[in-house]
Amino acid sequence: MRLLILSLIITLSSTLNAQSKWFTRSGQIKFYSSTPVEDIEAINNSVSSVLDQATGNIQFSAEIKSFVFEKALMQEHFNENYMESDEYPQAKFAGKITNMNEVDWSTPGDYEVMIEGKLTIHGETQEVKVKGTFRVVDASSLKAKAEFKVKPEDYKISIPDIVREKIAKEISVTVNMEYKPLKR
Amino acid sequence: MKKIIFPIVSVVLVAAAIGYYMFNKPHRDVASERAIYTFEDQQLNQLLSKNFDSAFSVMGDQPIEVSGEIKSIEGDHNNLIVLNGVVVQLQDNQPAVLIGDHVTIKARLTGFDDLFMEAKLDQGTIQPKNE
Repeated sequence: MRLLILSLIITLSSTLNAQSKWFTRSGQIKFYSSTPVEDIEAINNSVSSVLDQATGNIQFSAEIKSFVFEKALMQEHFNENYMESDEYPQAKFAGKITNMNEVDWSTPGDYEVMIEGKLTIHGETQEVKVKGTFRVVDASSLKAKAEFKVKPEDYKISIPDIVREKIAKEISVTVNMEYKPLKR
Repeated sequence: MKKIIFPIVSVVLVAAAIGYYMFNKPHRDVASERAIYTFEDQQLNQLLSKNFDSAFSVMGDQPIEVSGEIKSIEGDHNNLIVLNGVVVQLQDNQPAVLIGDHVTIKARLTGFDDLFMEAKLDQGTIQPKNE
């Protein structure tokens, strides 16, 4: 009897856990640099992310080489001169939603969330705090959006003087995710 | 005087033309490049997961052909193909494929995703079957 109850508890808890994780492999990260001289935009549409609804843990991973620019030359400079993507091919974020209790998963709607964690770009890790929005759609769809600014110098990305005027001191980053339930 | 001006003007014009071409040069077209390595999906995954740095220093950014069975099709435009341990973002206008199909895709290696433990490639094109 004890064994039966125990196995029931294990089965039940593992089922609950399975339902509480969300994932995407096709998240979007966009960045935008605006100066009077030039506006530069790049998009990556194959960002991976996993969100654990139970703990609030959230992770992102993006390949630097997958950021697409309008101009091939800009893309080349971005990879070779600034991000050194052969050496540092990935940008990562690992953190936590600090107000997960404010999200009502059973009621569709928009919820403001606070995200804290470690952002790694160009091999440098910085603590970041970001405000975001979760849109609970239904049991099989969750959308997430966040906008924040990144300073290249915080991540030891050096920009030569000759192009300094063309690249903003703070780059705007927009994150758009459409999560599906993770079934394992 | 003319003897000096003419060469100077020509040099400036040539430099401007090269500059203009470089600024507007077309994006890389992986589809037109020859694949330098050919792998089964799991084989590529193993290589990258076991020794990422050395494998990526050789194969990173290179055109690779990878074969395997489609496990999942994702993304807004259904252009993200998931094989066994490999994810490929396809270029536009690729032939329609279905989950369960065995495919060979030529694509550029962009990295290894340690969230899902999968090799990542982009600019993929579905290769015709050799029959």
